[in-house]
Amino acid sequence: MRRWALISLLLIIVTAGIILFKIFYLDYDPFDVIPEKGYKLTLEITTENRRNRSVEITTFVPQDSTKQQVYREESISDAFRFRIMKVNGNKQAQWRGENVSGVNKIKYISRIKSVKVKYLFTNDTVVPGEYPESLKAYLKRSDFIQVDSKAIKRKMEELTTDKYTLYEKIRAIHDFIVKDIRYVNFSGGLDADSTLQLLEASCNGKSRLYVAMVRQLGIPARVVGGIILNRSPKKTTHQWVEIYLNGHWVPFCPTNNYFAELPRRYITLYTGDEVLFRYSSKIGFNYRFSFEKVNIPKPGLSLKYRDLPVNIFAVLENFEKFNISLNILIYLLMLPLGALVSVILRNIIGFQTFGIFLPILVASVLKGTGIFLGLMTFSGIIFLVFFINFAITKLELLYHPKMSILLSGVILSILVLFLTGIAFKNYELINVVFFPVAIIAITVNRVMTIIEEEGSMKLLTVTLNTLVVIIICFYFMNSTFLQLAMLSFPELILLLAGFNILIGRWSGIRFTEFIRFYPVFKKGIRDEE
Amino acid sequence: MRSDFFKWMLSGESRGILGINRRNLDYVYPGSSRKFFRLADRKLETKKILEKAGLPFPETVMIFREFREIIDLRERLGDKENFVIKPDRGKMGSGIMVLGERSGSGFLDSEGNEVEPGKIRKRLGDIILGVYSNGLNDFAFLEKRIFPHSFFSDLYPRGLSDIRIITYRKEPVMAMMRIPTGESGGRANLHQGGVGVAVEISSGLTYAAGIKRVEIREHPDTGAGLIGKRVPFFSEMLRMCSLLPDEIRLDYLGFDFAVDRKRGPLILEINARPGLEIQNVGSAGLYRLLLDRNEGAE
Repeated sequence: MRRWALISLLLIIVTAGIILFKIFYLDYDPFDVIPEKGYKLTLEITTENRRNRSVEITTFVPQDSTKQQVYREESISDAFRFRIMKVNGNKQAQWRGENVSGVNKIKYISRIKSVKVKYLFTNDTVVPGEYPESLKAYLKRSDFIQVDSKAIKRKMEELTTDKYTLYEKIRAIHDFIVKDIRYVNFSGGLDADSTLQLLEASCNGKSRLYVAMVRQLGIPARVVGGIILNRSPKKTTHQWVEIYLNGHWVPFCPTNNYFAELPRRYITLYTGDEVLFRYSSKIGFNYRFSFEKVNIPKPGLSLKYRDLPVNIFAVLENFEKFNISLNILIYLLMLPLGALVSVILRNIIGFQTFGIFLPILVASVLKGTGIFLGLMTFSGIIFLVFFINFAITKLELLYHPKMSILLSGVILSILVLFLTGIAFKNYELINVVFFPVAIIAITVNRVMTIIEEEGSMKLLTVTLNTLVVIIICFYFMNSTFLQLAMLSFPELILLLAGFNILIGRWSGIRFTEFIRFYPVFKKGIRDEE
Repeated sequence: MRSDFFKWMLSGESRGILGINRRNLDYVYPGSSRKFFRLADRKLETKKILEKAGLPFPETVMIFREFREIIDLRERLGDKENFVIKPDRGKMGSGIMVLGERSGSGFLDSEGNEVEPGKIRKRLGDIILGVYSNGLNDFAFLEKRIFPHSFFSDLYPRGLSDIRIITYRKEPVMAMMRIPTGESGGRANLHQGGVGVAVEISSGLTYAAGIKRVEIREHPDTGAGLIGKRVPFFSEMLRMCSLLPDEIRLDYLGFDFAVDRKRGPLILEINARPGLEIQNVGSAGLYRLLLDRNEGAE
């Protein structure tokens, strides 16, 4: 067999071999590659101490539950000693400093994967009559949750007398507190009784009243505290309710009307009617929460797949550690695929483009700029080069200075569009400035080559060809399926090389040649007949 | 057309048409070392080889290798006239400037238009800077202008017609004549609008003609008949094609000839990657001809 065929076959076999080995021997799941959406939650605390005594700050920090998973946490606090404590099933962070004066900062960062939860709570749901000791605590009264309050009991019975199932009863309580207790945003707390009396409260009062009423039904319930990740940065924290049903702590939010479900953006910091921050008296204390959405690789994978020859998961985790977007890795991995597509379009179909790599470069830019705008910008550059060249032809300049002027002209035009976009608040025009200068420069060069060597008509056909190739490459390079394939099996690059070898030895007629030589082709058929 | 397309896809040998993939893969690149491409791509190098082989070519008048050699252009030119500026590495006739008779401080080109010294300097400068050679540095040279044999000037009086012969391992495969028109600005290039006329190898007779694949029987400007004409010195040209020395290992070549009214056929250049359009001109597939040739050889 010929050498090239052998090499090609070898590459295909090796690739297939690695893939099969991964799937069958290592139980590889390609979907493990997909990173999960998570949050990076940062708590910044600023303290000011003038009296040279010890300072202590305690707060609750996120921990794992059915709804959330904490990946990595770190505390950055130069002046303080830090420790984590488990208190009442909650995770507490404590910072302590002796002789800490002046202004000091603490940062606590957790990376959290959070999911939306929804529980099937229906008319058929029933609860036991008795609860173990550990849960009985959630039936008791407290100073702020007055389970023994007659007023609350009266109201609760009024709401639930004509309701038969548990679902209907809790629904009634829920709807009452959502609709009939007016929400007011104030930072202090309000006990359950007062909430019922005033018929208005913040999330705190609503939750306490809710819990009181449910406890009166004999069902364990608790206040839960956390934060809603809707705005960054923010200070407002939030409280809602969990009711113990059928072995689960099911969430309910009487402020935002979530019944037996909770969206992703709710992060739990503690359970129970607690106060989020505790700190030494007589110190200045300020805090701020901020968050950003991040891609978190599934945890534990580099361990699960440590036998892999090419351990992409170690790579992924390192990307995450260095805060580099996964997109860069995807971008790199898809380039060889784009190159192959470009080669097929050229050597088999017969498209004539501005160079073999320019279409791939432009295709990879289109993701950021948007297809239409990116192609418009690209075409605009070509047209600009043609136009400026036409205008300065009479000056009969030498080649390189002319190229320099063309490049400057294009960049100047982009700046003008950018400023126009700013003036008219048109975001599309503003985005032209992101079109990479490297691509602009290469395009200017290639356009001029075509104009000089082959004329303006050829420029038009090559431009159209290039646009088509760009669009096709774009769809291949942005296919989620192909991206997943390349991420899961980066050894596919070998396969691409194998295909390139095959195409490199293919001597057939290109499709455009078929059209070009059709009369001769037809004559060949006639001669044979 | 669609059924033909599938026939093509399945037939594999594409009805004898040579596509660029096969041309490069099977004919141009195998068995040819890169250094020989250099000899064919650079006209001045080619002339050295032709000289050694005793083959005729247009006389080189002057060479410009560096920018500073353009400074004293006027002195160097003296009162010479009737020459052509060519880039050493130019392709498909790009960069060529014909300077005919003197006109004031400048010259007249082949169409009778004035060419002033500034334009000449710029052209020489552009060539050296690589405008016509993909940005790579190049030489510019002047060679003596060819005044075509009456056969050609009868067909069209201006510009320069040429004969292209494709050879494989020194055997001629296909031939055509290219004639300029008014439309093409005096250039014989097919995709610039020149007339392509198919020439039969065995007889030197023309049998088909067209401009951009539209069939014609007469030259659009002069009305001269194009079919059934015998190309002068054709067998001489065929013979010259076989005289390229064996050490020049280029199997697949395109020879470009022009016939000077005094000197006879001259080799203008040798093309290591000759174009495929000749197949449309001659209505025949190069691949079939090449295969037939191989069978004949065995």
